[in-house]
Amino acid sequence: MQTLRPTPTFSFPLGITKAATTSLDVIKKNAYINAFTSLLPDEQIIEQVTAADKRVFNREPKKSIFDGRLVAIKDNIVTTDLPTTCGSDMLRDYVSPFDATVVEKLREAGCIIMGKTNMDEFGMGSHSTYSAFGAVERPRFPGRAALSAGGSSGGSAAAVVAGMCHFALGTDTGGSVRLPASYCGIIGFKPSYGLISRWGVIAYANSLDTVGILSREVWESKHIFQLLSHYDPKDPTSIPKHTRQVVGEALHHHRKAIDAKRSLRIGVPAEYNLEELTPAVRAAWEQTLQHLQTEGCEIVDISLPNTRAALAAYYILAPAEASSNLARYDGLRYGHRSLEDRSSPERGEILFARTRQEGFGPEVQRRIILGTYTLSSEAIGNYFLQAQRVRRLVQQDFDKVFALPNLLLNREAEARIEGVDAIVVPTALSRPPALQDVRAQSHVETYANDVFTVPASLAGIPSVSVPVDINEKGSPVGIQVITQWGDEKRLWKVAEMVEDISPELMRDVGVRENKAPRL
Amino acid sequence: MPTPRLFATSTTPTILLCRLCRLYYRPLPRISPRTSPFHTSAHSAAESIHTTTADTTAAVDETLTGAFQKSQKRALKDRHKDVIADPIAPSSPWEVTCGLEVHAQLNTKCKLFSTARMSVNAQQNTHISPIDASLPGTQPKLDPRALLPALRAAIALSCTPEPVSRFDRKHYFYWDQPAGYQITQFYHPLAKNGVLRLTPENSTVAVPLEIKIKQVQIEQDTGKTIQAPPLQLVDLNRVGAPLVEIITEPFPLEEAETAAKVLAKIQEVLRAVDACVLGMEWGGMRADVNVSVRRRGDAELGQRCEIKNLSSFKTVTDAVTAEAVRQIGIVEAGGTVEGETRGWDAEHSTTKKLRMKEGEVDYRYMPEPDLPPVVLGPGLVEKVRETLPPLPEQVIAELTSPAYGLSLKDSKTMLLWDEGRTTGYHRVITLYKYVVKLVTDTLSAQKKDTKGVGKVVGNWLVNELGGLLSTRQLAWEKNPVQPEQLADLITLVMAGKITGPTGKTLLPRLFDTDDSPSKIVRAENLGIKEMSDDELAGLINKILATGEGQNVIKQLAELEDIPKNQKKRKGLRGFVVGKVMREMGGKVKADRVDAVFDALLLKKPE
Repeated sequence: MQTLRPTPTFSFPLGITKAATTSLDVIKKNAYINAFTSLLPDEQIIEQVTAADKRVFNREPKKSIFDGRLVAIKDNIVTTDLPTTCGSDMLRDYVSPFDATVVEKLREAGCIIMGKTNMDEFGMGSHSTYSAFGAVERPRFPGRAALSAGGSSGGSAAAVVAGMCHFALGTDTGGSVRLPASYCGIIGFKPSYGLISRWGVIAYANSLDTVGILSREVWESKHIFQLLSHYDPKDPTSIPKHTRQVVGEALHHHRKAIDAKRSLRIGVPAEYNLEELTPAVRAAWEQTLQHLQTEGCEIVDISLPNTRAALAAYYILAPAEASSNLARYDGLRYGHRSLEDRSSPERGEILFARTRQEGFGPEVQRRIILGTYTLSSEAIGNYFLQAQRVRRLVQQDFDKVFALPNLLLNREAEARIEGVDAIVVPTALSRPPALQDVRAQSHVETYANDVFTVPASLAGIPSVSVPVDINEKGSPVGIQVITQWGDEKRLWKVAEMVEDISPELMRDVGVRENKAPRL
Repeated sequence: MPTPRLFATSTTPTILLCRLCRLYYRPLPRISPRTSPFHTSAHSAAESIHTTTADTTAAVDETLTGAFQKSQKRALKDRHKDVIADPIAPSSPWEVTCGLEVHAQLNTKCKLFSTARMSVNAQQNTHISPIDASLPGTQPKLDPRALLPALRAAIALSCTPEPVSRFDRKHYFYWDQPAGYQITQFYHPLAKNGVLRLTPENSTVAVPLEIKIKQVQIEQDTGKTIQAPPLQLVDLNRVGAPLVEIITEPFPLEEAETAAKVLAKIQEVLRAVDACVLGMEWGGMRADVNVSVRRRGDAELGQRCEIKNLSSFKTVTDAVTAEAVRQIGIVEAGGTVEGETRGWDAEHSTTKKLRMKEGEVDYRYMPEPDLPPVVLGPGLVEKVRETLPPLPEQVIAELTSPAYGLSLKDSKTMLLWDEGRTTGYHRVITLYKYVVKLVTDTLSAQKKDTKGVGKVVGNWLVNELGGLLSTRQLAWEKNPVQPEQLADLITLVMAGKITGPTGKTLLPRLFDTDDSPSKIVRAENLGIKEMSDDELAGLINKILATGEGQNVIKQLAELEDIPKNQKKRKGLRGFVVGKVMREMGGKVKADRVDAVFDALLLKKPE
């Protein structure tokens, strides 16, 4: 088996052509990772990289700081030059006639969309094992056990950590960017709902879906976010320009007022200190909080009482929306169509049961059935509507502890100085588990993995996972920073403080030598 | 006499019956055809025809095809009309209740949630955006312009618009439904609690009816299935077209046609306020009808059945009747009506079961997560209310009021020409009012009597201009006569400058010229000739001097003292007057000639 070679790659001092060829080399030599479902042909990548290099040589203005860099896109974000499969047989050959807005934005910034990354089918999974293209494996040193790359954006996370691309886009519905980032030891960012356009993102659960960013450094995620966070008239849930401006100014005003009076306050919710938390994660969490304290932050105990119920609510709401969103895959206009459905009109009504049975994998079918049930007239009151109420409570939990108000819900709300500026919690219960153990888990056990990531998704607030304690085996712990809606500014600040904890340990992942200079 | 073959060989009675007759046998399985209360002598007549013509094989064949069967069908159909109406007639012990769910296409340029253009007869699958085809990664985006016609419809139906309404997904699998769900408004509709009034004046109902409107909501249309055996082809052009759904509360049927009349009234209102352009005849409107029956006096409504997707007024009447007959038959036979969804089988003139309640689709209504709620801005409803075009009955009332003095018939004709739409340019009524204004203004300026202008203009517009357009097969939009020309012409007539007949000969000439009638009259000297009575008398005498004239005088003399023969006298005098008129090229007024002739006759020694 080919294993990852610990080569120095992607630091900025490396020219963009050299960085790209090294990446392509890494992809070829590490096929076991199975990070991609499709790749642009090498010569096309090199052609685009050379063009960017020429721009640098001719001293033309750079399109952005990521001009000429390779970017991997999760395979549920549509692209016109590569298929978009969602990791499903249903869309194995599907090529979209339009680019997603985020893809357009990246192309404008000079990024090279070099490939589409493997994922849990339609985003449903936590280990990137439920893919029609086979499971993703976390990059590892020779002789070590195969680990979970996390999911559902596992392909994107693995590609970033292995150095196959400069950064990657994923989608985060209930933790699908933060969990793989935590397992792979990189930065995984989920923005406030409504800031990054979802046009062209294949829906899993629209009210929770966000486009997330996976990068090696916090500052990179920050820049990519600035590149992508714009109003998009095509996305009806995209926050309009005016609201962005008004909320942005109000938040700035509140932050300034608070900073003038006290130091940063970091909230630590008691409900996250679960029994199931592994000692390593608990230790890393404590270490992080100590570090923040030494940096001058005030650590405050807080309570988010509906955290446990959040997970249950999420597993009602997401499958319900999914059962609806996935109803369109009937094989008539695009995608897989069963030969049986095509050839047996004598069965009476031409339906799509067979097509959907063949096209969807078992986990997707399981969630569709679950969602169909919870929306049925007999169950909707006890499940779907109840879960919506819980979602509201979870969101209120956050509003009660943050110093900044949720201006999306109430423009006039005032800041509360006694509140916290950010919440710092673990991203996952453990370090990345072995793929072997994951396969032995029951479905419900797998669902429990999302317990720390789901609340921020339900509340629609930003969250970023930062790796902190990478052990001798290269196995990291991810720590999440969560802030109020629209308060990405504070999020980056705290995340950079967390990132500073153990820079020397980062090398142990095996793929990075040089820390990139701050621009 | 040979055995009546048709009776002998047929094993099921339905074979004996024409299609329409089968209707009776199905709902009343326990009643023998001959004793069925609905089975009247018409049927026996039909039977005897069958029997007698069954004597020879050739004759039998003839009865199955050709003109004979056609005429027989017609005869039976006429009978059916009477028979079918029975269960719904007020004398029936049964009360039939009906509720309508009307889907009408809103008058918009674009689809509800995409920028694809609306089309009626474009090439299949050419008006589709990625959203309409439900491609992965697309999101609907509401075109707020669709709200205006929907609000007009809601307000015209006296509904109260909700300040906040929301969209929901209604799930079901069908090949013409690309997303697997329809976006509609289930939990929070656009408007609620309206009322529609039908009166003998504004509709053809016998007694005034008040239909309560439960709610009005916006939703998207599905695609179309095109039958191309063995294939079924799907055309997505219509997918996402904006619809307004109007749901009525149940109302009792006074007669079989009541449901269709309510539907026609709804269509009339929607068209008048420019909410919907296409009527049922163009597939722009469809209805689901709920029917239930109960014995008169029962407090509870009977179990209802829904008949889906009726697309003409006639099928609504037929389906409601057939369904009522079916349900009454079941209850009379001691059974119970099952709640189910039924379809109309036009071929057999029956409703047929589509699915039982147990097999009913669970639509799994879910709030549409991508679409924000619709919040009506302050003042919007008031603005729509102020600018709402008048309803047809308001227009008719105005036209028949003393201000215009038009006859009901002429008013309705004009409204019909306007296709029931009451505002906008290029409407006949707009033209009419404009011409009335021009004529009135000119006459008042000339200090002339303006009484009856409305009626006169109506006459010219409806009978003269309308007639000319129809003989030339021109639509009203293509009317080449300028309103100013028409007004000028009518003013000339009313002011006594030209005679009516001159006006009538002038009108067709206006089709090819922009010259004003005044100019033509001046140029060609068509104005009324100022003749003295003596001049006229001379002219009359000249005519009376001819052989024909002598004859007339003779006959008039004979009729002198017989009052009964007034009519004939009139005819004889008319002959003379007509002659004079012709001589003068229509440039004198008939009543003046008549008066002079009278004087002449009185003077004349017998």
